[in-house]
Amino acid sequence: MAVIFEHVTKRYNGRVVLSGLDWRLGPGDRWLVQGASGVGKTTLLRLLVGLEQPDEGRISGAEKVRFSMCFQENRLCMQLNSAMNIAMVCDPPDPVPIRKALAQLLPEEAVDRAAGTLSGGMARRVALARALLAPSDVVVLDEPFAGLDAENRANALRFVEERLEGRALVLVSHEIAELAGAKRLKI
Amino acid sequence: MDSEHVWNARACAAPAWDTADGKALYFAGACDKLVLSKGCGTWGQSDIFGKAGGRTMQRFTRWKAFAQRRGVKPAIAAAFWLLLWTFLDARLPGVLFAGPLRTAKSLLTLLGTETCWRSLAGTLGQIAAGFLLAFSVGLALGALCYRMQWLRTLLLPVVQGMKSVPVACFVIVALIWTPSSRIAVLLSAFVVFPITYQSVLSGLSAVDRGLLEMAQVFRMPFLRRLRFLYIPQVAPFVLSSCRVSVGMCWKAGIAGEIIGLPRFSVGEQLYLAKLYLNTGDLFAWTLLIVAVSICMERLVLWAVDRARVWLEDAYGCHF
Repeated sequence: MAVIFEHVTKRYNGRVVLSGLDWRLGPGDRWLVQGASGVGKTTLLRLLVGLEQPDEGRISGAEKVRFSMCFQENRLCMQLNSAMNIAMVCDPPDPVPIRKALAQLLPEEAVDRAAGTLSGGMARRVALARALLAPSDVVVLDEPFAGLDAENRANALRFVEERLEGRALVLVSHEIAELAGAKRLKI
Repeated sequence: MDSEHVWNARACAAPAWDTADGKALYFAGACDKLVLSKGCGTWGQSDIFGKAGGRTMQRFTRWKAFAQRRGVKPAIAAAFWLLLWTFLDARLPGVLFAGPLRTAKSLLTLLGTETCWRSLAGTLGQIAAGFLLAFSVGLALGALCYRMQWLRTLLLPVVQGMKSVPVACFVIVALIWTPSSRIAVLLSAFVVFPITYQSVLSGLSAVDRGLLEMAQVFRMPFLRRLRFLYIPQVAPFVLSSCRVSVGMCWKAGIAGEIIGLPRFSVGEQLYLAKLYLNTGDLFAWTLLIVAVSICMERLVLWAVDRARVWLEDAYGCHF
């Protein structure tokens, strides 16, 4: 099921952030969204997942699509451990595949630590893993590699490729210039 | 400077640093941290305070270690107030003030009577019923008003009124509405409801907006949101409100009973003790009220915490 943006405009306090955007996100599409800071990339993602409504134009098809998202902030429950943070958005919450997947991104001891005690980079990887392990049709990633060193970034990118499993991907990243098979959306 | 030799002076109840030659360094200053450089390990208390000063410091440190044992500080505080109570008893006329001994005697006599237990049970039942009623309604309405802004606006004058109307005014009105035997139920509910309602609203309003958006995007079922997002955030607010409201509902309930004088109530017994200038009984009843109020507070806090654990476990993922 495709999500279609038709002449979508969004304003914040009278300031136009997105103006007359036409865009189509089809099943299995890969989009790399690029643009300078403050041009409305995050706004586009928020409109896509339904957290914002357009001021003008319309977005169709989104209500039938299930999204998973890695937000610009990690948005983890600080008192829960990494595995639990992912399990709470999974259905059913099966610990075995979650732990196995997390082991690709995190040191083993970090899996059972409360999210509040993780380093910034570790928490970022948990947020990324949550977006990819949750059941969804479209994976939306907003700066998922921010704060990661080159090695961890490459590892995280490999994780994205492995775990995407044919789902559509919308990626906003300053760190990644190219993504295999991805179309570019310049804002 | 070596970071290994940075000690927190406040944490040191014993010698902080025993050196190779048997000397020890004690911290007693007002400083938070003492930074020692490597090689200064030959300093000892005698070097710093002199021999007599060193002994004094040793005694002080031992005393400090004793005072930090569990239960010592509360025992010291209790002893202080008992002594002050005894001192005041010796100074004030017996008709105005009862000392610890007279109060203890009155208490023992009271505990042996049927009236005491009947009055305590009556008041406890009334106050507990009022508390439970207001607590349940406060929880439900707090949660509803979080979702329904119009209901919150509608209830605002009622809640504001309940918070600011003096208990005495409400007692007079309540005595017109209800028989005096039910006055404690109404009054304790009157006091507990706004506190519980406000705590639930504050707790729910404090839930992280970012986490709620995350739950919305991932389409988390309501029960999971409740278990992972709402309960952990609201529970501390509710526990804190219970700590305040249990004591408050005893105060208000008994104040109402003293005015309404229902049969077999603590309020009636307090009134009679005052009427006959029996200060021993008055003090004994006060002690009983404090004891029962503390027991009820502990019980309520335990029950709320168990309910939180049960709700969290009822729909959770166990890893």
